[in-house]
This record gives sequence, C-alpha cells and structure tokens, in this order.
Amino acid sequence: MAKLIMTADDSASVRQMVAFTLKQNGYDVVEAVDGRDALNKLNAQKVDMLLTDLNMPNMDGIGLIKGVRAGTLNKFIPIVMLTTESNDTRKGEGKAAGATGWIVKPFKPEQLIAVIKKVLG
Amino acid sequence: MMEEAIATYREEAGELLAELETSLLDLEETPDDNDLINRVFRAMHTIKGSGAMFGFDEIASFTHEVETVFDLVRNGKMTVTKRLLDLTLKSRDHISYLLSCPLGEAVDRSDGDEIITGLRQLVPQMDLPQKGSSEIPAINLPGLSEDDLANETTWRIRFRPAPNILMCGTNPISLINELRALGTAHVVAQFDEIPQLNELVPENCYIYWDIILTTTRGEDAIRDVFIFVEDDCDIKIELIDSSGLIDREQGYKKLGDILVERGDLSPVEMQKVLMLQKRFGELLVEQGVVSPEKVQSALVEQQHVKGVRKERSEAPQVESAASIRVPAERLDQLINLVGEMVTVQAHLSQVSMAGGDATFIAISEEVERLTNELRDTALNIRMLPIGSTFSKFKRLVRDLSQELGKQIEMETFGAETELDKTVIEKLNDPLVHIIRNCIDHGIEMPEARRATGKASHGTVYLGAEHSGDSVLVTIRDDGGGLDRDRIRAKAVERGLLSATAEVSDKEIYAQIFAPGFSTAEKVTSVSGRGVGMDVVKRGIDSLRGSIGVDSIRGAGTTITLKIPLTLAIIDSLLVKIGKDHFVLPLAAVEECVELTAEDVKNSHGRNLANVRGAIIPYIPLREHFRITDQRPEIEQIVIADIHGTKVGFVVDHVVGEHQTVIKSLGKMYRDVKGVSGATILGDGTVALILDMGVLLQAVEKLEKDIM
Amino acid sequence: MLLNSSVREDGEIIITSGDQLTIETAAEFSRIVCEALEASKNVAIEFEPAVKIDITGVQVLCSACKSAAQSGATFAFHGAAPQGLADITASSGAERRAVCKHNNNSTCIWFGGAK
Repeated sequence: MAKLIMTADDSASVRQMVAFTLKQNGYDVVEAVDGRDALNKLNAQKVDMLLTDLNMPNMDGIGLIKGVRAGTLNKFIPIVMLTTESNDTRKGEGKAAGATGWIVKPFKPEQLIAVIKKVLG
Repeated sequence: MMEEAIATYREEAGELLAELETSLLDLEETPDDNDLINRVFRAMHTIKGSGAMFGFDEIASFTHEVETVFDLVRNGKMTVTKRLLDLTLKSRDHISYLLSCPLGEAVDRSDGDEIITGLRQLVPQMDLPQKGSSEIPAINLPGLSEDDLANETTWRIRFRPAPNILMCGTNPISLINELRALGTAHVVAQFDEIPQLNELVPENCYIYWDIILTTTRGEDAIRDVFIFVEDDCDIKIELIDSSGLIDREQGYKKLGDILVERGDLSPVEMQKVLMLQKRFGELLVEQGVVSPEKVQSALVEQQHVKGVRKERSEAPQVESAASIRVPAERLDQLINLVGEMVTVQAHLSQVSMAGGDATFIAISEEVERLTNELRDTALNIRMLPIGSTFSKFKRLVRDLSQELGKQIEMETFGAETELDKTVIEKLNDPLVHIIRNCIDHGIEMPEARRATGKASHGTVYLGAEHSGDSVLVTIRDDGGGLDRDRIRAKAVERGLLSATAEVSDKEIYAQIFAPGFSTAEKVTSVSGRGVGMDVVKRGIDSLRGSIGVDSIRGAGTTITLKIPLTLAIIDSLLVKIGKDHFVLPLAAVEECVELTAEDVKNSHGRNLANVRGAIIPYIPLREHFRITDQRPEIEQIVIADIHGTKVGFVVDHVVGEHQTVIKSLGKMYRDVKGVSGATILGDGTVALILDMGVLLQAVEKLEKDIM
Repeated sequence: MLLNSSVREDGEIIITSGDQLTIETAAEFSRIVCEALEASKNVAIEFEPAVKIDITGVQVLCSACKSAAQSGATFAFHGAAPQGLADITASSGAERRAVCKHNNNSTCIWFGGAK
C-alpha cells in the first residue's frame, strides 16, 4: 500500500512541486493550505508522514507540530519541516516541538525524496 | 544566513583554489605524483559540489568539465602534460572570476568555453564525455554525498538515543539500516537500561546500540546518518581500525582493553579479574563487573575487526586532519587578553616584591611563569609557515617570466619557517614588489645571459630562516646586479646624495628604496615606474623590520629582510629618565655601563664613551627628549647594536627587563620620530617604546647638518 | 483478537497481542502486562501470527521479563514466536546469546536462541 504523506504549505507552487515529486515516487499525497487546515485533516485521517512549512498563516508550522504531537490519531508520525534558511533557532524550535527532521529550501526533488526515505525508513 | 553561507563558500573555495594552484605547480615538477593528482581532483570535486548547493551553477558546471578530465588522469587514462597544467591553471583563474561574480547575474563565459574546448582536445577520443553527462549530481543529501575514501576503515559507534526520540517520529532502526548500507555492520542492542514495568515510560527509548561498522566511506558519511538526531542524542564515533593504521597485526585488542576503552570497565577491575586466570569474559560476568550484553558486544567488535584485518591486504593510508579551524578574530581576542594578562601580572610582581611576603612572592612568581608560558603558547598559535606565501610567488614568477620572454625558475628554502599570521600577510606586498623587480630588472634576457657565459635560464631564490627573535627573508637572483654608478648618478641628480660625498656601496644601494626612484629607461608593465621599492620600505618599516641590499655587478642581487617574529608582545628593557619610563627592545641591547659626571667632563662634549678600550658614541636621551629635572650623579648607558653599529643611549636608571605589550600610538603621535609605540606598565602609567634605529638616524642627520 | 487480557481457571493470565505491539499501543500493552503481573504469578502472551513489533514492543517485553524475574513470576508466550518478533530482533540487533540474569540465567526466550 502506498504511504500517505501530508504536505502543509501556504504557497500553492511549493505544494504543487512537492505533491508532484511525491506522486512521481509512488507516494499518496494529501494537501493542506495552512496549520489549521492541516491539523483539522490530521484529526480525521491517518497519514504516514507530515511535511510542513514553518511560516504559515492560521497556525504556523511549530503550532501544527505541537498540535499533532498532542493529538491521538497521528501522534507518533514522522514530521519533516521545510525551512527557508538553515536557521538554527527556528530548527531548534521545531525540534523541540517534536519535529523529526528538516529540509532546507530551496531543495532539489531528489533531496526531498532522500529525506523522506530516510525518515520513513 | 544564506548570504553568510555563500560568503563562507566563497572563502572556502578561495582556499581550495590556492591549494589547487600549489598542487598544480608541484605537479609540474612531479607529473606522476598520484597523491597530487588526487588532491587536484578532490579540490575540483568539492568546489563543484558546494557550488551547486549554493546556486553557483556556472561554477558547478564549469568545474565539472575540469573534474572530468582529472578523473581520467586519476584513472590512468591520461597523463599530466604542460598543456593540461596550463589549462587547469587558467581554469583556476576562471573559477576565481566566477566566484567573484554576484549570484544570478550574467557572467562572461568566453574564457571558460575556451578552456573547456582546450581540455576536450586533450581527452583521448574514446573517453570524450558524453553530451549531457555534465548534469550535476545531487549534492549534500544526507548519507548520499561524500568522497569515497579509498580505504576501508572500521568504526565503533555507540548510539544512545534521546529518550523522546520515538515520540518525535524517529525510528532508530532505519538509522541503523542506513549504517548497514554503508558497509559491513555488526549491531548489538543494549538492554541494561530498560527499567522494570512500574518505572517504564513505554514511549521512551531505553535501548542503546553498539555498532561496529567497516566501510570505505568516511566519518562524515556516518555522521550524516545521524544528521537529524545528533543534537539531542549521544553519538560516539571512534575509528578503531584502518588499513592506514601503522599497527597492522592480524589479531586485535584483548577483550578487557576494548571494554576499558568503551568505558564499560575500569582498569582496576580489569586487573582484579585478570588475576583469576580463567576466560576473561566469563569471569567478568561471574564477578558481576560487566553485564553479559556488554561483554557480548565487545566480543562482537573483537570478532569483527579480526575478520576485517584478516581479509585486508595492505593499502595506502589516509591522512587524518590533526588541526582545527578557528576564526582569526578569536585568536586576536586571545592575544589581546594575554596582553592584558601580562600587564596585570607585571603589576602583581611589583606589588608582591614591594610587600616582601615570601608566600605572596612565590605565588606571584608562579603566576609569572605561567603567564610567560601562556604568552608563548598564544603567540605560537598565530604562527604559520611562510611556505603558503611562497607558492603564490611561484605562480607570479611563472606568469611574469612568460610575459617577458625570460626563462626564470624559482627556488625556495625554509618554507617551514614560522611567522606571525599578520606579519605574513603584511609581507606579501613587499615581496611581490621585490620579486617583480628581480624578474624585470635583475634577470637578463636569455641571449644576454648566454653572451656573458651564464646559463640561459635565471633563478630567483626565495628563502626564510630563523635568526634570534627575527626571521630573515632572503630574495636573491643571479641576474645582472645593481648598477652602482647609475644609481649614484640618479641619486645625485635627484638631490638624494651629494656628488662628492664618500658613501659606501650599501648606502648607494639603499637609494633604490627612495620614493619615486627608478633608473629604468622604459616603464614596463611589470615595473620601472618608480613606485614599488619605497612601498617595500614602508611595508617593512611597519613590521619593525629592516632591509639589507647587497649586489655584485654581473652576478646578482641579494635583498635581505629582517622581520621580528611577532608584533604583539616583545621582551624589552625598562628604563627611567626623570619621572618618565621608556622601553627599549631587548633584542638589540648588548650591555649597560655607568656614565659618571666625570666621564662626561673628560669627553669634552663629544658624547663618546670609552667602554673597555672601545670608543662608543652615545645619545643622551635626556637632552633628546628635553627632560629638564635634576640629572643624577651617575647615569647609565644602554649599549645597543644597530645594524652592526654600537651606539649608547644614556638614561637615568635601568629598571630591568620587561614584557612589553605593544599598543599603537594615536593619530596625533604617529609621526613622532624615534617612538614606535607605547605600553602600559603594571601601575597603569604609560611608557614610550623607543625606536633605536630611527633615533640614531635622527642624531646622525643632525650632526651632518651641523657639519 | 485485540490487545487484551483474560484470566484462566488455573489463575494464569493470557495476554493477546492484537495486530501490533508498537508505539501506538505501547502504553496500553505496558499497562496490561503490569496489571497481569501484579494479579498473577503466571502470565503468558498469545501472539497474533502477523503481529508487528517495534522497539517499544521489545522494551515492554524485556521490562516485563525483568519485573517477573524480580517478583518470582513466570512470563512467557504460548505457541510459536511470531515472524514479527524475529524481524525486530534481527533488525535491531537484539539477539541475546548470553544468558540473562533476569531469566534465571538461561538463554533469553524472547530474543535468544529460540527461533
């Protein structure tokens, strides 16, 4: 069964790029436009992994990560944050909130897939 | 952040390019040196890889072409030729140009295209890279990047996950599987920290792992596996076996030694158990010193390495880096702190001596000893071998001689001589000017050389050696030598020398350092404009160094630069005139003798002293600095050797030796002659540092003017 | 069968594994085993043949084994060891060949020679 990955990002173009790359590599994708949207969907649907931007309106990535870890259905899934720069403090915040790993934007499709494979095992 | 990363990349790439250049020039001498070829390849590879990551796509694609060629050389499909080296050196310059271009803006590709065309012509037909093969592989993927090391190495990894690692979505087993993918691994999970049920937090991770991994990848590849967890997990990676290790015995360490190394067993316990003469592992478990799991894990390591060693045939070794990089400003800060420490320590010594308490004095002496050691160590950290500068000049000589149609080789010696980092940097410009002059004016054209019976190619020697607290940098050429008469005529014409004065050769040669001085009839692109040698003079002066010139007509010129080892702290002699303290650099001081009022009377105002039969002129500093208070009955002459001349400096008292932390003078005092800086004494007062050479010149000039 | 426990007439408590002993069920699994060992000197697990086990499952098993040894209870499993246990044992490097002091100094029944 194909693994289901959620991509949460307020930028449509990033979501499209991520979704395209993931589907091409045999993953199923569910999209969310911001933190609130993502958390609502994650409370209703089991996914295998979450890929989230950090800067989003209506609940940012940090809030979303905390929300997922405090929930039930997807409490223990791997979460990878997309950071726009290798900002260590932001990365640290994300890690403290419960993120599993990160990928720095801009990245190449193959880098994204490598990180996903690493985290999903 | 990204700008910083780009800046760092530019800096690193710059360093790589310098290294590349050195390797290429060395390769010219030993074209078969595989180590050098590999170094060139690796430098290119790293520049390319990082370039792609930071968006320097031009660099990445261009460097890829050059790298491809060196890959062929590395694999023995091509040989190193002069043409290849020429092109590669040009590539280096082109990459340097590309680096300097702002990201995202259009760049001039013409040089690059020309180089690539040239390189492709060198490649044997069958090995021409396929179109489209220049696509850059994804770089810096965790676990996917890295140069493969030629060697197989075995690592002991202890991976202790943070307790919350499972709750944060990390599966330690996928990390272990990534390690397995790097080579041959033996994995032992340790259970001893799993508590009983009533204490168990079920989602916490209590298990930790011992992994013995044999791989051809480096430590970085292993670290990359842990990239997301390294900050909050305890990860110990130790090299336990390498085909490069000197110890190539087939067996491996004893079980007890492995456990002690891992920290699972104390040496004392090991000795106790060893006394019992049974199988060591069983004994350890029986005695309850080490858990069976840990013994088992150590046994796994023992078996693993024994196996690997048995299989291995001897292979060339890898150098492991024995140094670390530290930002220069941190070193400067350290030197500043040490400087202040030296000042405070001087105060402490003063106070303790005045107090006369024996214990206090003993402590203060201990502090003094430690401070001195600290100072020496701190200054030593800034010492770099001068050789890095030398290799730059090799390139300069190569390029200039080609441009001028001369055949010139450069020979260097003493590249390992160490000098303070800032001194090396400041030495660069003067050396460039001197070497340019050697090449342009010194060495003759090949025909001219043959006509005088010399070899058609000339040689420039560049060398460094230690001499007391200084370093002597020598630049020597076997060219035509300086034209004594021309220089003299020119100096007279410019009013620098009087036409009738009796002057030594050295004094005449010294004129070439006068501003705007040039005897060249035509100005070449290289030198002759008369700017340059005075730049040398100023540069060396600012380093508190001195220049000596020697030349034999027809045989060549030797320029010797004498440079103090460091600029920050010097040993000196503290003296007093009236209420003021002065500092004289100790290096030049030879001795101190008394000067009585009677001696002064006997010399009839000629400022000459008789020291054990030798007549030595002296400079009364009291008069020089117009200090007017009561002159003591007996004064002191500090006798110094200044460029071979013995001169005395008269002071009231000699206080003693002193560690002087040099502080530069403010703008207002910068042009004061005879004072090179100031220092702060233990009690907080300021003492001026005297420049004895300049003082001597000033006095000589004054006397000449009077005569 | 879901992750659950039942008491037999002779006082032995049987715990059924359900289809996964993973981080999602770890708290529940741990609680059930803990309560069983408090209530009985005889506790056994019946594994679903296709049960999936992760690191947390391994830890609960080992922790329970240690607790049982401490209190003098027996903690074992009925029937064949499932493939899932063999898988996690191999992938995590959990194989125990040495004797375990928490298991009366005999080979570990969970991660040892039994295959």
